[in-house]
Amino acid sequence: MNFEEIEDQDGIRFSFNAWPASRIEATRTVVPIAALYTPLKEREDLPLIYYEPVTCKQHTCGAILNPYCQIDPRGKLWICPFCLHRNQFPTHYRDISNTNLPAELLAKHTTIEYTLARSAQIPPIFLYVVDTCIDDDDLKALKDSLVVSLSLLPPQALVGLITYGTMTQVHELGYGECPKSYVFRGSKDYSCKQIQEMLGLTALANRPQQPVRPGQPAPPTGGSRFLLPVQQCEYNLSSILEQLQRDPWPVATDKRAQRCTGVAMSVAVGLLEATFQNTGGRIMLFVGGACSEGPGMVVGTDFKERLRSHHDIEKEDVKHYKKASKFYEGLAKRASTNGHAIDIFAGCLDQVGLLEMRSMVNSTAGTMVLSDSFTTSIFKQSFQKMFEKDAEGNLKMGFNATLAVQTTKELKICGLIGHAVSADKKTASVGETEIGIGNTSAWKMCAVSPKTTNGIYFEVVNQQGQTLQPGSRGLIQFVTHYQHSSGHFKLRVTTVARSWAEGNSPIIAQSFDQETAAVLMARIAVFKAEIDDGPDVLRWLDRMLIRLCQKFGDYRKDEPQSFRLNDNFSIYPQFMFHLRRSQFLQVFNSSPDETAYNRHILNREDVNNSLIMIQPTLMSYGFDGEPQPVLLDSVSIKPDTVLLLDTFFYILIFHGETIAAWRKAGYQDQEGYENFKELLEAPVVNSQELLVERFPIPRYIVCDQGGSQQRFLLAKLNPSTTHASGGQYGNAPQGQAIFTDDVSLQVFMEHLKKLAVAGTS
Amino acid sequence: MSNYPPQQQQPRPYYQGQGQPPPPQHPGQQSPYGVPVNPQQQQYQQQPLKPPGGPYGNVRPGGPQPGHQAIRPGPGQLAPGVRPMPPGAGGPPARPTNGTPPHQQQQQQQQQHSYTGGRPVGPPGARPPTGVRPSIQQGRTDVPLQAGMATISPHHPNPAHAQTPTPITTPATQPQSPPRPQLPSFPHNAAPAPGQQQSYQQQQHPAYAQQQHQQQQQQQQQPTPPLANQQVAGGINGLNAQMSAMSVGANNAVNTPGYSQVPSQGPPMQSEAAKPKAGARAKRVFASDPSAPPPSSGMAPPPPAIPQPGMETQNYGQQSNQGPALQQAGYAQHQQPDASYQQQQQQPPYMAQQQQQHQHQQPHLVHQQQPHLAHQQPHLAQQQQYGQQPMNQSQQFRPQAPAQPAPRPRIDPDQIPSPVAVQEADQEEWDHKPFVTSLRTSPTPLASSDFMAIDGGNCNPRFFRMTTYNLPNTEDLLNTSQLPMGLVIQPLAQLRVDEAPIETVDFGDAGPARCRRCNAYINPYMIFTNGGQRFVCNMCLFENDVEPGYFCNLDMNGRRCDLDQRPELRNGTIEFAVPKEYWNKTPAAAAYVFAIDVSWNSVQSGMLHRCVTGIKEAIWDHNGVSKLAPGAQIGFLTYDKNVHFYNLSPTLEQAQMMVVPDVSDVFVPLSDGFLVDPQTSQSLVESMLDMLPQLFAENKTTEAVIGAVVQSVRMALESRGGKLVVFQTALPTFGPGALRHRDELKLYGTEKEKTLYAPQDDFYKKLAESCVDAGLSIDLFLFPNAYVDVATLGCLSSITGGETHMFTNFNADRDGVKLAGEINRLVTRPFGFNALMRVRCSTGLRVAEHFGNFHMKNSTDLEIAGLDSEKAYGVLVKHDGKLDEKTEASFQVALLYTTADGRRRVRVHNFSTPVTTLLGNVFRWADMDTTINFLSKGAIAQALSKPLNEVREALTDKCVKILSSYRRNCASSTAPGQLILPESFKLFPLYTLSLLKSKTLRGGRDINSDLRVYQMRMLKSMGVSESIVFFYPRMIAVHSMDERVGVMDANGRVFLPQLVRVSYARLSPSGAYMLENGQRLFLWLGREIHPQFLQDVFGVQTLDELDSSLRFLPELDTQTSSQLRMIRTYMQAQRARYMDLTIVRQGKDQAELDFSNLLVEDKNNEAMSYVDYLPTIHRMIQTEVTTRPHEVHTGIWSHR
Repeated sequence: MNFEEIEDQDGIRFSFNAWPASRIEATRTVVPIAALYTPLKEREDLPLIYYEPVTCKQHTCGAILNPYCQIDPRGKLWICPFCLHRNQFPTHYRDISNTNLPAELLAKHTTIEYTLARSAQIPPIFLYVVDTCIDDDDLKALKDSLVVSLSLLPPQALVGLITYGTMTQVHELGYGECPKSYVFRGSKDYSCKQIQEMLGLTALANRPQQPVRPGQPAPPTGGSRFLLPVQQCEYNLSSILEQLQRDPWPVATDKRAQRCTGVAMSVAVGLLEATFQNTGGRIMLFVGGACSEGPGMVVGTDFKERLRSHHDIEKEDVKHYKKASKFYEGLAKRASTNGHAIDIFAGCLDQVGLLEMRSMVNSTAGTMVLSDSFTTSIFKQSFQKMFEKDAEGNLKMGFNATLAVQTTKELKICGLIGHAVSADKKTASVGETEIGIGNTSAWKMCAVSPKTTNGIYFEVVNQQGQTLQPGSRGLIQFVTHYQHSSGHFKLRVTTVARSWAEGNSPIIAQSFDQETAAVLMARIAVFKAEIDDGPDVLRWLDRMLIRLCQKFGDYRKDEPQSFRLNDNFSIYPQFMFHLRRSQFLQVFNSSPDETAYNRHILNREDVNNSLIMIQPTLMSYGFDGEPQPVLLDSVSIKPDTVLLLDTFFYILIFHGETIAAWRKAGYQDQEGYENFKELLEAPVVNSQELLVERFPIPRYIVCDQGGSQQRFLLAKLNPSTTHASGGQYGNAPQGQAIFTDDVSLQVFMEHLKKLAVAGTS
Repeated sequence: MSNYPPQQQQPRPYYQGQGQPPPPQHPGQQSPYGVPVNPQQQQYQQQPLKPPGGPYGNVRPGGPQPGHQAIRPGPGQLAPGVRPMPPGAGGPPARPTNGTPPHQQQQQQQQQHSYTGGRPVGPPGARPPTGVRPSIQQGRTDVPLQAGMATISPHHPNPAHAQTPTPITTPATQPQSPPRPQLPSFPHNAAPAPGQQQSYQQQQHPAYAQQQHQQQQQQQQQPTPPLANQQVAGGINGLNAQMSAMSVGANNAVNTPGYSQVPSQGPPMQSEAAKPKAGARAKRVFASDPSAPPPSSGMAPPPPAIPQPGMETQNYGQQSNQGPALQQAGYAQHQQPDASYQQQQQQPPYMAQQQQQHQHQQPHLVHQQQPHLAHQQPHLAQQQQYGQQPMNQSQQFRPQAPAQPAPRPRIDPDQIPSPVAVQEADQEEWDHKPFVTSLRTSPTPLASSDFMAIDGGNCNPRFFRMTTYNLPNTEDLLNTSQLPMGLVIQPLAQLRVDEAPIETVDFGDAGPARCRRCNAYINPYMIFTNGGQRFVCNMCLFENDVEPGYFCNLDMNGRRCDLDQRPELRNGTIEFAVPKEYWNKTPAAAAYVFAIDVSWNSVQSGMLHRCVTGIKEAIWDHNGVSKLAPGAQIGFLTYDKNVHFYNLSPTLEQAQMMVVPDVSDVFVPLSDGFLVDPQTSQSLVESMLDMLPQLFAENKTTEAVIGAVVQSVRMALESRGGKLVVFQTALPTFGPGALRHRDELKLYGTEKEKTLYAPQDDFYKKLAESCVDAGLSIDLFLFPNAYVDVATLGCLSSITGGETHMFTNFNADRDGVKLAGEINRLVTRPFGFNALMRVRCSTGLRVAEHFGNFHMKNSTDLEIAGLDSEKAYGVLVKHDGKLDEKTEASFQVALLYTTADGRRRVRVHNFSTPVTTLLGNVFRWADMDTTINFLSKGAIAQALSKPLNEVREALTDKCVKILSSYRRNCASSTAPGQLILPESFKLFPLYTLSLLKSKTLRGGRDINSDLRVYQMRMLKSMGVSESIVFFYPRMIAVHSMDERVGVMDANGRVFLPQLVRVSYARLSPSGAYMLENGQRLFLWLGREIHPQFLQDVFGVQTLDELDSSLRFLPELDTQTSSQLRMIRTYMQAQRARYMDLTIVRQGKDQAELDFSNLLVEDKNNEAMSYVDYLPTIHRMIQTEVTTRPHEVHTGIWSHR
């Protein structure tokens, strides 16, 4: 079973699929034992079970019955593999036998989903927070998108609307007589309590749920004024949306509009907090510019004040950054505590302060979509894609999820890198080392999609000498509890087992999944980069790479030429090379917002997508054969080919010089040149295929060699040919010369070999 | 000035010239007095002949005031005249004469004669004879009648008539109907005076006792021989027109005589005192108040009565002194027969009655007077001039009194000064001619009159009134007079339709020409010199260069050739369009923001419903056309615990409500759409308003955060200013500016009571001040069911120049109409905002203090966020040095403001008025209406630092001080027992009493602090004409209206039925009366009202069928109905506030209590009745005068 198959079945990929048996050996493997797990991985044949799971009764364990459990059909017992507690099967399992096993005990059902009897009282909540300080065109497009989205929501889903500009307005949708909204000052930091009081929610929030007498409509809760089922308020809401006007406050020509994103979010969080605590919901922020007023202010209103750059942040020459970040972190914490996800849809050419706001999205496992304008298809389609439905018409999203991980005792959890917050659950499985969000064995994700992928890191705690029985396996159980958009609570359980192996065993090297490892390392690097200086991270990454090469390379000491890597390690250095150059770790040429956005996406995607981000794919289309992947190298640029670059964030079609000239001349439209036409169309068709699955929708760029847009391509290519690498004797360099001082992959590899074999490092 | 001097001068000459002749007439005694006396008399005589008053007479034909005074020698003369007299030979001699009874008598006689005008002359001869007496009596009676006639109803007119014809006419009139009842008060003085005088004379001649007896006899006789009076008059004329003075003197004399008679009892003293006084007066009159005399002359007949005008004597206490027999009220006061005689004599016709009355009254009087007796006794039974009136009245009344078995009024209420008579007389005068502001000869129309003014260089009295139009030249003189020297300015007052509109002058970017030193604006009183190259500022006398662009040659008279094209050089009131440097913010049309409380109370009481209806009606007329100034915008918000704004942008389909829950730090949630054009957003606004009651029907919130509302609106209007109208139901206990309930019954009447009248904290004060900066004025409508702390909340309107309206326990059915009416008034009347007002006065004067509702940051400029046509401001002026009596004193009121339609203007009111060295002039030209208004403003200011009862006492004290100053300095020759009132101030005691009875100052636990403060603030900004009717309500009988009544003429004037004095005693059970005080309008229906009236007006047959909750008059097609409705409309048009109609059925409706509380002449409101108060005042004056008699001769006289 290869990695992909496992991934298809369990949604999980490990860096190592066989684990060193002792702690020391485990550390020597350099790349930690870790997994990229996609809890809601879509699977056609996912076994759906409509009864409650059987859990281990050991009070600190609570593991769920799985195929790796030993069972005693006669004694109607099962042994929890994690705590070794012997559990009695519940009475309705009395007919159990080796031939008559419940689904969860079937070996193929290592991943199983229980649909729990308990269902959510409250349908999912969607609270739109809409920026009105935007151009009329933008606003119109945004309004249209929002109105359309109402039809995409489940009819019973609750919706609410907050608009903001200079001030924040909470629209009371339950008010029939006229459009009514509560307005909050944009420049003031409202406490949660204040917001609740002002919205008249205090009493309701404090009042314990009163038993509802049958036959009587539920007493109007605070929420019923601001958050109503779509089917009930669609008319009101769409008319409000249609009448939505651009923020009317005058803006001087040398000023930015006053935009109180911070307050709007604070109000939104407060509103949900007061009305629907711990209920699945999303706050969707549509922001058209940087917050310029009140708490969470990213930049002043004066145009003289520029938005902060990486450089400014590095020099700590930023007035608002820390304050704003702290403010949004506070909101993020509250929202995540209450189980509400925050999404940010940015439609602005300039930065909108994603950097500061990122914690809101990252902590709550929301989504981020960065587009230039709300009129772009990037926004429109991405937004619609949010509401994709499955076969049964339910939204492909889960709410208010908790991911709990259980390990056998040799293995401990270091942490999680991805979009989640710690659920602060300390069990025996929690290890000492901390990677990412640690010190817990459970995490909360306010929203999960089938794409959501988290990196979970483990450490081996088995001391050397405590030999394990040969053939023994380590077990990890992932239990994801979430609220399905249909209102049911579901529990997805994935239990994986991997063999222990002796430290020097080649099995370990063979079990290495270099792709997964690269992504996992990238996540660590990015995580570190958020905290540490860029260069430190790069050095760390280099060091780790060298050590890995030293550990698993095949070489003779001090002889770089002798260095060889196994196949399953061979492209890992290349990943690292591109990772080092990627926008995730290099901030040059990226705005802080873009960096935050890119990192956000990286932390969410699965292995394949992540790899595309790290090392984009390049396809070459030519007359002489099928399209073929080519090296992400400047040498791949040829005048008579069309290249298709996929960086995940954008898809770029690049016409070589000749092709471009032909195209310009319009040959593709002439008879007799159908083949040329096909050549031109082929990459377009392929790119469309890529677009379908992609979220957010990537940017689509078509460019010609020599055009300004080619920079997007050149930035990604390995600069094997640069302006400096021209032949000494006037040889024209092969391919396109890239103006960069960066080292090329070749140089990088040579250095790597040199260092790897150097013996000491 | 021109006028004045002439008057003064003229009189003198007259006197001299004339006087000389008269002296001869008068025997030796006269000589001393004679001269002066005669002159007066002569004058009178002459005047009569040639409306000597010429200017005066013409000017104030009817006016009893200055002119009148002159005319009515009595009042005006008395005062002024009297004074002069003393200085003249009269004074000194008189006394001496007094010393000798005979002399006194003679003197008195002389005086009397002189006063009586020619009459005396005649009389002198007559005097001795008994025949004369009768004549006198008749004369008296007549006179009184005349006087009454003249004074009362036609005071003004009468004077005119009276003046010349008085002597004669009087008799005529008198005979007709012992007019007393009608006019007794004024004329009485005059009349009685003569009569008295005569009697005196007669009496005098004999012996005191004799005199007394004679008087009595005379009285008795007199009645019959009214003719005698006439004759007497003639004789008097001969004697001296001085009669006026005489009258005065006469009165005095009369009194004196009475006294003298009395004196007979307590002989010399009294007689002496009395006589000398009389003499003194007479003399003084002549000497000091030349003008006075003329009037007297004119008034000659009235003079006796006149004394009233000038001074009114009442014989209250003296009688007691003399003897219990004398009626205090009566001149002679029953004490001694003499007095009584006198009275009787005067009252001839009624003699019997009078006597009876006297007798009846005596007891009362005695009581009252008894205390006085002590004082008075020595002085004889001299009675106050009131006495004269009272006497007359008493005499007259007495007859009535019997009719009305009300032994109560010791004084006949008909004989005491009657505002009704005064006002009607003045009104009649101005009905037929315009008031030309520049003529110094005629008195300013009374504030109660509906007149047409022509701007002749001084501004219209609607804009600017002074407490006296002859400024004392020194502070000493002012202090002596005890009068306040103040202005009451109503800068945006509405002109009558037939008055010329105010012209606007645009000087372009240079701005209006101003004095370089004091910044006064160019005005008609600036003098161009150097061929037009320079102009001298009338304020600071600085010589300015004329800007080349403004240069114009002067003509031969030194006037600019372009005078005709320069309204600013012609008109007393002008507006300048001003350039940018006068802007504090870009002028924009006013914004009207309505903030409506929608809390539980508001919805439940129906206020909300009425309010939105009212607002709709106020903004749009029936055709949906906006009634607001062009460009004005409207905005709305509602509030309870939250503030709700409404986006009314015409681009929307429906109004959007925006709730601001953050009241502790409120803000404006929208920029566009909050203020909208009433025209383009009409449908949106109307549907929004219609929706409100329904929207909040279920509202359970009881708090209402007015503080936040004001804050937010201030922000919204910061850049333009405007008006905020707040409808609040309860004490704000939530949000910013939350207040605590601090009103405790136990504090009332204690030292701490005043704290309730001050704000409990600074919040609203500061807020209001910030609103002033924003040019936002706030009108509060309060609908309390309990304490709302008007003292604190009301700061919002009082500081910003707005007003407060109170609807306690609002009942939609009852108060809805008024609410709607008030909203309408408020929105549609002329409005200016963002204003800065400054009052400048010429060198030698300074502005010391301002009263009213405004804010001041420095000591000179009033910052007024907004003001409308009804707002008035009081200004206290003080001396900065000695004024030159040869030049006039000038005032300039400059109001920089933005008009409601958004134009920046400076409105300038100029006023220039003469300076005098004579106290008499100060009094003669004093304006009681303005003074009362001014004093009330001052009293309110005091109420914040003193307990109310002290304030009340201070007011009475002020009244006494002023009157006794007059008494002491202008009428010192009269017997101390007489109540002598300046003509211009004869109603002063009544208005003082009314002021004490107003809810503002009256005692009583039913006035809670809210109501009190509300009233105070209202009064603070009340204009003069408004306040006059507020203090003394206007009541008319509507049950028998003739056809003239209730029809609007071409000038928009509607003739009203005759006024009725506000006393329950005046109400006939079969009558219907309409009463208004500027706040409320009552229609009182007697229990025996004729069914036809009900049928005509209400369409019902009996009172029981009538729904007394009716708030309007049904539109029936009957004459009575249309008359009534027209009267109601007309009355309303004159008032600042909307007066909703309350129908009161006698003895049936509870509202009758409110109604009767407005009958200020009755005993109510924890204060005494007018007839009781007057004697009290008199007593106090006596005390004042007698305790410090020597002050009499200080002051004024020394100046001469």
